[in-house]
Amino acid sequence: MLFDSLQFILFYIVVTILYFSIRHRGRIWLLLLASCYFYLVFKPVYILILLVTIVVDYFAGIWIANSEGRKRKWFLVLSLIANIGFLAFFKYWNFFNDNLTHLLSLFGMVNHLPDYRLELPIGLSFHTFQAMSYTIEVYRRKQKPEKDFIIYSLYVMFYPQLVAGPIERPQNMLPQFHTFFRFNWENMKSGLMLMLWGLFKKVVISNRLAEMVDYCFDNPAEHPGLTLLVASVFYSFQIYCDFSGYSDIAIGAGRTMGFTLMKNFDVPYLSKSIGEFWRRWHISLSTWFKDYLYIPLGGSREGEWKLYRNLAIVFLVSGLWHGAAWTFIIWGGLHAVFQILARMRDRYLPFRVPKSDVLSVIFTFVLVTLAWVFFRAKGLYNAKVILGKLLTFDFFSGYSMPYSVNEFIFCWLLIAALFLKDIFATETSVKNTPVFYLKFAGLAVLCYFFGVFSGDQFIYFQF
Amino acid sequence: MKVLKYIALVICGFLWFLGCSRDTVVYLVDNGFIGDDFRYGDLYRLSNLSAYRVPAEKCDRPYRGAKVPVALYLAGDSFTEEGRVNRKEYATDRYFRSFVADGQVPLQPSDGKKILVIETVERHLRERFSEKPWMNWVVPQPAAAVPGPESFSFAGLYRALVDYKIPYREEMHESVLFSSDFILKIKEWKADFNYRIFGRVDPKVGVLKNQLVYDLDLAPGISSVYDPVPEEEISRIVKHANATREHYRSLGFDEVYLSIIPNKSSLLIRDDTAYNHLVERVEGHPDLQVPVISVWKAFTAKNYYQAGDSHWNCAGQKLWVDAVNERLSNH
Repeated sequence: MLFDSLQFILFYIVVTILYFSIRHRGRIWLLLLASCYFYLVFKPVYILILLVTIVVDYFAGIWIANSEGRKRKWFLVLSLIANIGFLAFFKYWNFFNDNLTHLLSLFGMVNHLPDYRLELPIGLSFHTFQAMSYTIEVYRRKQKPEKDFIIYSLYVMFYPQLVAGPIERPQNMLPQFHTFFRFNWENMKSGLMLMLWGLFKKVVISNRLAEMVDYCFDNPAEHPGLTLLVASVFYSFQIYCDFSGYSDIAIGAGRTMGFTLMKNFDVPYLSKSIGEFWRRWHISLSTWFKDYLYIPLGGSREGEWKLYRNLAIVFLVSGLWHGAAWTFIIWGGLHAVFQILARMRDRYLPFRVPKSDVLSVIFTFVLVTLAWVFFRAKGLYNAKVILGKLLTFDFFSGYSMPYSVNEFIFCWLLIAALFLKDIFATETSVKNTPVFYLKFAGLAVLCYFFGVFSGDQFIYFQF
Repeated sequence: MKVLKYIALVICGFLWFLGCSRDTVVYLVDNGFIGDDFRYGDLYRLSNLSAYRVPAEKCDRPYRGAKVPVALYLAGDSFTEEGRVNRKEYATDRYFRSFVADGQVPLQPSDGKKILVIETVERHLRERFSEKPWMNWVVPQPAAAVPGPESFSFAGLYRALVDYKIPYREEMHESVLFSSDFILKIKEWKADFNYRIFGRVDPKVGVLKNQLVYDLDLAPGISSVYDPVPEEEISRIVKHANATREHYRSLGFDEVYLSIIPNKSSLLIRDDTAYNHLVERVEGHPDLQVPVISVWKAFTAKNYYQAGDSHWNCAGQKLWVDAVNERLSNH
């Protein structure tokens, strides 16, 4: 079910009203059933994967907590195998198989492994990571095992963040599912406002910019450098508005029911370095990798070269997490390289590079945008074509776009408005004043009149 | 407050149910509880541009003359669908119709004379005849032994699970919630504003010489009026049309007719050098043996299309039905 669909609006209203009409135990059941329905709408059969991982992780959590020594580790391994197994099979089998076929063909050999052409279950990477964080935290004794199967199931399946995050931690969510939240107007208003703002980012900005991006990235060889440059910049904002818009709706929907989900974005394009960018972009994933991969690998405690190695591992895995394709791996690798180079510059250059905040922000944005080319391009060849034209400054051989001039200008105005909102209006007052209701109604009207309701999925659903 | 809450719950719950039940929505439309969202035409329904809000014509002109004992088999598209062309308009009572794109339609037996009319809109002609003859109607095979109750298999269960979908259609909600004249007015404000300021219309619609047309006709692809059609492909279409005729004559039809309804857009750009002139080239091909029921020439003389719709108006429809009736009477 898409957040920007009529179906979701009705679903949300019915579930929220019912939620506040019943007692605590009923609410848990209601949210679980609603979440199941929410997921079933995409592709019903894949709920079986969720069911299996939920059962395995639920029991693994209890067994880990009740055992000592090596047994604890084995139960954790069992849980990780179940989670990573599904992820590996559904997400990486085709990729692995295709590459193996290619590799064997170089030696004149044939790959006999079955070719399943599996369809990726929606949100698999998200709920798998959330489930893994539970068993790892129980193993680390930072979280008590959840005895209530229904509440544990809801922890994995809570519909606002089920398919595209934020990837939550058990310490944040499980206690909230044990809490009875009374109806609170302030939560309701600020949650609805956040949902509306998320919707605005998706339907007004992201879907509009997507037209230019699709126009260029689908056939990059046909477009001149300047067109591709604009499309690349637009993609940076498209993906930001798309994903942060989704997160806003998720956080807002949770907030209206009393839940506090973690912040996922913090004005990432104002970052002054790639390191800072990753503290502001997809925060729930960055912190997941930090806690469960980077620090266990040794983090920055074991010398400079191991730090570089750890960064490389984390970002390559992060690239692979996003998608089973070489373009994603290169995207992750580029982010690792950028960070390693920045650290080497600070450590080995005999002089301090003069820094300007504005130039740092622009430079970081340029690097991020160049890396996004790999993220968005349909294959390595297309990425090479686009970067070839961008990096050779082929900007004077014409320009084309799928918009009118007015709409093109409007796109830039929207990007400017986005920055202004992110910088100056981080929190909206929810006091019972006419200004609040005017703002709310105004934003709703803008969403409707300027919205591009193309029915496109959110970009991060594919992960 | 509580009462309001439960009213909202009941209304939203009912609306949600409607999204999952097409039959209920059809019932509500048929009984006048909700407006038919096609009442101003299919293109207006998509674009909502106020300039094209003209009530779609309802043409119900029963045939006045004596009916002839010839069966009419019509494989047609949306131009001749029931509701647009009533079966009473034909000069025969023996009338069988199915959608031209439907495959494996069992041919219904009929005694006496019978003719087959294959009616297709220009934009879909190539996909229906370029690759192979049209043979979607098939002679039903003698009934096979009645199979027993299907035995359980894990493969079958797996297939059923994989294929299962939650019944829901967004169009149902659109029809129920947003098809009243009041809401259409608001939709028009949005559509007109976006068209005037950004030149933006619904992606399925194009504005060509101040007329609404399907974007499919203009966008690159096999359906486009601008897509070049090589002479070799025209010959193939003709060859396949002839083969279709031979096939159905061998199955007992007295004659097979081909009728290509021009796209609204083709008539608007017929003097444009980029237009592929598909209808004229097929209908005028020297090797074409299938008799055609052509409206091309008549349609170039004046406008036979509705303002907010991709289909013909009543005059255009009558012109075509009269031509079919003439063929029926001549057999």
